[in-house]
Amino acid sequence: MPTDDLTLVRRARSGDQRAFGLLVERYQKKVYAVALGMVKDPEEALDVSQEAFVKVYRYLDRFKGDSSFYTWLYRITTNTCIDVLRRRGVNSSDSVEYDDTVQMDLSEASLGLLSSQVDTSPARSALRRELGEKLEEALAELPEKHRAILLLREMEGMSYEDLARTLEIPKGTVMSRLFHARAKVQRLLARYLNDEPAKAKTPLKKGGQGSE
Amino acid sequence: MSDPHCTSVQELSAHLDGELSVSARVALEAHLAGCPACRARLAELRAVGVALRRRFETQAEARDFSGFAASVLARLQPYRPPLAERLSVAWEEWKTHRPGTVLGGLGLIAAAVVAVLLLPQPPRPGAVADTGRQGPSLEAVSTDEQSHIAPVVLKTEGGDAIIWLVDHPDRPSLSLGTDASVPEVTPPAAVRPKGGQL
Amino acid sequence: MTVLLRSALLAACLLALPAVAENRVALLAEVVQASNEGTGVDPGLEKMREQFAKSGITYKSYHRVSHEQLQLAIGRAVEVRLPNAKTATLTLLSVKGSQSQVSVSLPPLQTTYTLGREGSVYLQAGPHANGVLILVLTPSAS
Repeated sequence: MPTDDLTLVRRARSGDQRAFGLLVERYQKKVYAVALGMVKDPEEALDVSQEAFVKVYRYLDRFKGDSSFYTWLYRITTNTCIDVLRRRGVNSSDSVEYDDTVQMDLSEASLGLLSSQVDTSPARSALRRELGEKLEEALAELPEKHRAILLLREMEGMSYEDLARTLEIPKGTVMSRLFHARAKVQRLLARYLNDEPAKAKTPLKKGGQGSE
Repeated sequence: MSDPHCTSVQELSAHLDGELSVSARVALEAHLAGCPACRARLAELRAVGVALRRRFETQAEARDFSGFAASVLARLQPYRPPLAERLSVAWEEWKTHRPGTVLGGLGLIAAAVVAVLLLPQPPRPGAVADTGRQGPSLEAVSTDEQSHIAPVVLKTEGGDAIIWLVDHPDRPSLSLGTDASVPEVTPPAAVRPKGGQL
Repeated sequence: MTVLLRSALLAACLLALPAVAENRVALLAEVVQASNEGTGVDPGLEKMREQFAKSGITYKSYHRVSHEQLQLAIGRAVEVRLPNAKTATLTLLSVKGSQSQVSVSLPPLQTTYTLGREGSVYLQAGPHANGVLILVLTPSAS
């Protein structure tokens, strides 16, 4: 039996729950990994992942098949995660802060920081674990939309085109949003790893143009 | 100090994702060849991605997903209404929307009649009322002679019956699974449930 | 449609059709995996976990592996396949009003019990993965 996504979707749509189960098994870990990055708590991430698949099944007849199944799946996943985050109320900033001095910060504050930490330290695994934790904290400081785009790009290797379709934004926005997400994470990481008491909440210097 | 000829970090970000145009990529790679600072910044960007991926993928791999798909399916529609209910709904709808075609279509009438037959009959006058919640009552429980396993019957507070299986002390022991799965059940000497209920 | 006409129609059809309701029982058969790994309890199984715990059987997680609506008819055995390669065979022995007598064979276990309109029977079906499988039989409203 051919098992490409669209075939399974078609069968699931006509009531074949086993086909839908195969789809779930194909994507469950990936969806979970993204959900984990979004909501942080593992149990909540598991619950959100299941909820996402439930929604997928319920809205199967709305899936036109003109986009790929997996971008549609991830759209549902990230939207479900964002709903959860908004319900929590923490860090639900819809407006995104853009700081054009970011470029200068990067080149001065964190040059050589990450690469060396990751590769050469003798207590490599301990440091890597700390880096992982700090990375999670930094990620949690990002606005949801930045978190989502960074996770989808890094975890799934989604092309800008797929990202645009998944997040329903223009392709130009994808490029700048990704860049800002990365820049912010790097800046936060630099602060954490340098043991600076001031964390990300310090007000950013507003740049000249604030553009999306 | 950033050299004005250095590429913007935004461009590095796009390059990392393989999304630069051919000409832009060629120009950037030429620049990178001679600029350790930009190479380092690119490595930084890449390192964040690698660390992020490793962080969440490891956790996802470590998680047991064996019951996940089943849980999703169970959340979809755990109980489909039994046939009688569905038929009775269909009968009601049919009555409401098609008053004029009472005698039309044998199939329709037959279905409706079956619905009436299968619906719970109204209590006949004088019939004994149900004495509250009545659970199942076990009449016989046994295990194969040759097996090393004996049944234990437990009646729950809600009136349900649990039939558990344990190693019979008189028979050679047989492993029932890993230690983690053996629950905290003390096989009662006599088959008596807790609380004196039966 | 008048009451009289409806009764007449009913009577006519009753004569023609076999007494369908008399020899059938609808059962919901669920296969649940219980284990001490993980802490998830599927929606709808919380009561099961609670009852088990009160009876002295404490597992941390309960997951519904499958569920199937069974129609039992007298003289016709119905099989339920379990993921640990076991098969449960259910046979309806008799029906008296709302009480039915069912026999279940789930090697090495055999049991016969009477069930009414409500109440579940939980049968331990052997180890599976890192826990045990439990076959849950519940009458469906009818």
